[in-house]
Amino acid sequence: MSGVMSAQNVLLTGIMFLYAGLVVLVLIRAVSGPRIADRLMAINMIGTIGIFLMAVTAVKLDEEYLLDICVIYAMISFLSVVILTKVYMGVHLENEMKRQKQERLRRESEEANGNRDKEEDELDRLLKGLEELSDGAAGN
Amino acid sequence: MEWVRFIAAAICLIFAAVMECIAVFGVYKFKFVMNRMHSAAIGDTMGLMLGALGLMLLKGSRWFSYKMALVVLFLWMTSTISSHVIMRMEYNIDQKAVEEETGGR
Amino acid sequence: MSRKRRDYKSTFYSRIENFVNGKEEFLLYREKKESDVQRLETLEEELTEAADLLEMREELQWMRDHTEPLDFLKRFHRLYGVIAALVCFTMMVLLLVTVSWLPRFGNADNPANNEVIKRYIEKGEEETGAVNIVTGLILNYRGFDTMGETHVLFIAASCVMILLLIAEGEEKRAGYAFDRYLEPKNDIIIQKVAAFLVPMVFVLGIYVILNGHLSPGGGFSGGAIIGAGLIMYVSAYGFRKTERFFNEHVYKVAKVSALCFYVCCLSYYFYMGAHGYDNHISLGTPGNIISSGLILFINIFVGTEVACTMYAFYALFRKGGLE
Repeated sequence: MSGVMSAQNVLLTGIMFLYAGLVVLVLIRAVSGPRIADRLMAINMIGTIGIFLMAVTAVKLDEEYLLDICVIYAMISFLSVVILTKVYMGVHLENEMKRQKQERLRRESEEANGNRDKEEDELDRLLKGLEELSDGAAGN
Repeated sequence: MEWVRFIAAAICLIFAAVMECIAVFGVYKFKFVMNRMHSAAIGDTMGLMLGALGLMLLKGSRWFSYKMALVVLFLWMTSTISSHVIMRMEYNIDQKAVEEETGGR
Repeated sequence: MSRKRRDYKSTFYSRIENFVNGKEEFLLYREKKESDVQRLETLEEELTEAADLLEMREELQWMRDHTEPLDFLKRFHRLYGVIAALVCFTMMVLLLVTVSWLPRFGNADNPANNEVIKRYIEKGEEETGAVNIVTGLILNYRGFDTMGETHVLFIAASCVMILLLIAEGEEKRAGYAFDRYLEPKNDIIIQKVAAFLVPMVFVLGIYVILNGHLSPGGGFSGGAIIGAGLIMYVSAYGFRKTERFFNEHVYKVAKVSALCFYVCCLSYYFYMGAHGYDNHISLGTPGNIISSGLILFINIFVGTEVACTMYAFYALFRKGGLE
């Protein structure tokens, strides 16, 4: 093996180890990310790093067909992000709609209850007044 | 001549690794999703381009270069669109947080 | 001398200019442009319709949850469970008995450890004509298994259709309205990118399928790529535009005919091989596109099948129908 080849091997191996470490770091971000966008972004980043690792592997093993897999991987990661965001937004909006509807129903029923209570109070007051009147009449 | 090519490739690859490290550092450093996304885009564009350039120089074969250029083109298109899509989702599901962070602009 | 503006508007270049400025769909089928007021009105109509349909969907779900099934149906379900358990148990016993007849796992003298692999590696290229040994293996030596797998795919798609296909009526309209109402649609950025990416993805998939016997890939992976391209197109443009070229009719014809041709090819192989005849199909020179007998055609059929299945799964889970 010539000097260039061995130096190339050392370089590529070092870069692969470095990128593997970066993948682990980004994965921690994906697990701990407080919002869903954090997670998606981290997964997207892992995809990019993975594509680069595949390209490095293709050079290291001298197999050019691995680059086809790079293109496919890029496409799949893009597709997954697009579909996930689309579906998540749809589900979120549907839940939001349902929540708002329930809230509206609850408010309406509360208002109806409040109205009935008011009517009953009115009725009680009237009845009391009538009784007082009748008592007064009896007393007289 | 071989050594010159190797050294140029090594410089490119090391710069790419540095870019990617900066991206990951930014992902931990910033506090809000959109800032994080900005730093992640550094790794997706600059890091990938430099890395692909380095690999092309290292390999030196024509078809490999074409395919690698295709990969870079593909990723430059898709990663920006992914960022856009994630951003749109973030804004739509939680407008209040985004507006607080950006000062209502 | 110079062209008038009116003449310029009808030329090819003005259309390109409009496309760059985002005023016109140049590459794709152009829909009739609506004015803003009309668009608002249709949006409002869709919104009220969607709200009504949401209530209706909930009511339907409630009715489904709170109605008792008929008596004979109950009995049928009980019997069905018992019979299913019995069939599963007999199959399990049969398979276990068969496994007990196999040679011990991990034994160094097993044929799988010596002769089979040696034969595949040493004579694979010569006998099947495929440079990629894996393709030659799964489509030629193990063609029977692969045929079973393709049938499993077909049956899986049929089962999903039985379970999820919404035939007609209010629910179908609800599905359509929700697909259009709740999710982001007609995002111009995604549409422009998809207009460039989807043809590229299709070309890549076709390349992977046609080079199945020369480089890694083949029918399954290439079909998956084409299916992913279709899904990308749907997520950018919506179902209404996709149905112009890929609807239930196209799906049925493509899928069933691919399976039939595939079975014809393989039965020819089986018949000739079982009777010891020469099959009269030249293998060609390994490394050419047209070589290795029927493997190329089988790859194309498998690719069609897988692409249709991928897209159908997505469409069925999304809105419960291909049309």
